[in-house]
Amino acid sequence: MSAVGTAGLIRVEARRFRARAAVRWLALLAVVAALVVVTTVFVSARPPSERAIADAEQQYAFAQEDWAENGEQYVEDCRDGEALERETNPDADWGCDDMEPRPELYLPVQPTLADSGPAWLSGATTFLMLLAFAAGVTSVTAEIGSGSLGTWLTFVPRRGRVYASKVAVAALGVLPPTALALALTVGGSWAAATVNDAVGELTTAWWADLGWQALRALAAAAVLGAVGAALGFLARSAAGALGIGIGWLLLVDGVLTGFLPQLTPWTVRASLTAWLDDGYLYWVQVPCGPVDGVPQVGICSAERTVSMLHGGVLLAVVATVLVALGALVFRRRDVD
Amino acid sequence: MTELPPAGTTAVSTRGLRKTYRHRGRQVVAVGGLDLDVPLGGVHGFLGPNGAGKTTTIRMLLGLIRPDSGVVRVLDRPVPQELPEVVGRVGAIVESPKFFPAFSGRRNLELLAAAIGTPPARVDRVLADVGLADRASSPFRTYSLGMKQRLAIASTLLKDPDLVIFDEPTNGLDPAGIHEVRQTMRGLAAAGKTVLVSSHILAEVEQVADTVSIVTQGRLVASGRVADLLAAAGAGEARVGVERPDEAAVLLAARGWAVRPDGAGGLLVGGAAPADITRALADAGLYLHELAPGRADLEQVFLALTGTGAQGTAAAHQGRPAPHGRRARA
Repeated sequence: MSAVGTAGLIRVEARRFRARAAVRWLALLAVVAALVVVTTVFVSARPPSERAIADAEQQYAFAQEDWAENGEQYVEDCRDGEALERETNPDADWGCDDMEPRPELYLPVQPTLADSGPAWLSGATTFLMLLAFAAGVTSVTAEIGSGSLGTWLTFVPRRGRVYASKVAVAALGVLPPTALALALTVGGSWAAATVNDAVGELTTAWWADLGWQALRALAAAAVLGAVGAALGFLARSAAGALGIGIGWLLLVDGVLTGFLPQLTPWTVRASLTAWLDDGYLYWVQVPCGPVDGVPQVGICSAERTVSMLHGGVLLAVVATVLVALGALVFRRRDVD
Repeated sequence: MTELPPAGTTAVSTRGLRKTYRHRGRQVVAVGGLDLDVPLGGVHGFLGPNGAGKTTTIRMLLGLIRPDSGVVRVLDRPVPQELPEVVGRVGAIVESPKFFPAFSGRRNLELLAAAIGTPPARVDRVLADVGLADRASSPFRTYSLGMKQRLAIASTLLKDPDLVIFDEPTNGLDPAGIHEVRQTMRGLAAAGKTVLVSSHILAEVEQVADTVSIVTQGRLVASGRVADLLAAAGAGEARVGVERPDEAAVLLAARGWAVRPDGAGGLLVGGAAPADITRALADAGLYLHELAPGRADLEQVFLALTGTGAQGTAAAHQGRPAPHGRRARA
């Protein structure tokens, strides 16, 4: 008998991971999530019905009549409001020269794959991240809960290797189902858009951006799988680990951004969204700046962005700390 | 703290092994400076009442629990420092068998076998050895307690170990299952393995163990060959059948011997050799119709040493407190 190395241990751990019923259920849920998104795309990308078009034309006719009667007043009111805002926001542009009703503003919009593809993919991604995290958590807590981790350690007592193999497999193991779900979402959305003649112009750059978005989602899934496993080692129960993870996102991040929006870039939720969606917009309250050299009194809203790179770095730091903490605790903790 | 015995003489040795827990803000000593020696070969019983620290000790031998202090040596290797080098020669079942509930017995063993580089073919062989071949594909959670125990034994056999540790192996088993486990332990010992079996069921250990260690409250109170411990405990009470037992009781008690009725018209006499009893009664014209010399069993030794149960209490009342410290050594 000879003990296998870390690579061998990862292979054994991967066999166990694949064979787990909970992992299969989570993978199935990932596929279901992709199909739900595809179905939504199919429904929303359908060309507008004749009834909807007739309603829109009627609304457009009403708007034209109204414009003929009140258009000048509308433009005047608009310019007054714009001028007022420019006292605090010199860049304010209300588009007062472009207010005349146009038919395309009233006809139902048919989203195209070219315009909405990234948003459709993003719709599936959030749920896939949750599944990846849950898969990482349960892969460890099920073993701890059943006591089989103790049996495992009587065969493989090198805890560093055991920990590394379990975290690595939690990270790698979530990739196939996540990749499958992402591929289903993209492929299904393309098919749904094609059937509805709503593809639009798909350039090479568009495909490249979508590919990067999918790759970032895969990387995030791997990180969340590893973090889930680490939290599983720390909390030792699925409820505890899921509670810590989801509770942090909802409560700590939520409260933090609610009371101190300027801390948004340092929250996990904003960072994750920034990483997945190539940036995250948020607003903060700031003192109004001077206009034409004249100091202003009051509080103004200002738009800020969490960059994708910032989000990725923060996620990497949090994940590294949690995985290292999990390793430290597991090496020293007594096992039942 | 005494020195460790020379290498190659024991399968397991501990010196000053100590483990404490915090429980409700209080420090609880689970194992308090245990000096344990398990000789190489044969079956060694590790006895103690519930809560004596047996399972905690076994967990420390296997590296599952980190001792607060003390030295552990398993198959001549310091543990936990060199546990990875020796774990392949140690099979263990700690408390109840614990495997992945949804996986079949075979899949559980295949994963363990793969983790230690054991050829997959050995899985079917050990499953057959423990009589689980027919149910190998069933989920572990559907197994009876006896089947779970057999699967655990099969898992230890994957390694072909030199030391096999059983922690309370017959808990919850029916008589047939107990017999099977006992046979397995004797079979392993006969094959040259060392078997360490912890239990609080003394009859079970007395039937299979060559040597025993008795612990209570996390400390060793006796250790040695079973026969030596029984001899050291001395003769038990002799059963005496005699005419006019009331008169005989007064006579024997006057000699300073412990006398009590046996509940069946006879007497139980302690502290006296059979020949002395015969002579004393005959001199008084009281003639025996039964004299059965008492024989101490492991339970009596255990109860006296651990101070548990009715006899332990009686011993204390009689001014014979349960001794602490080693009585006899193999």
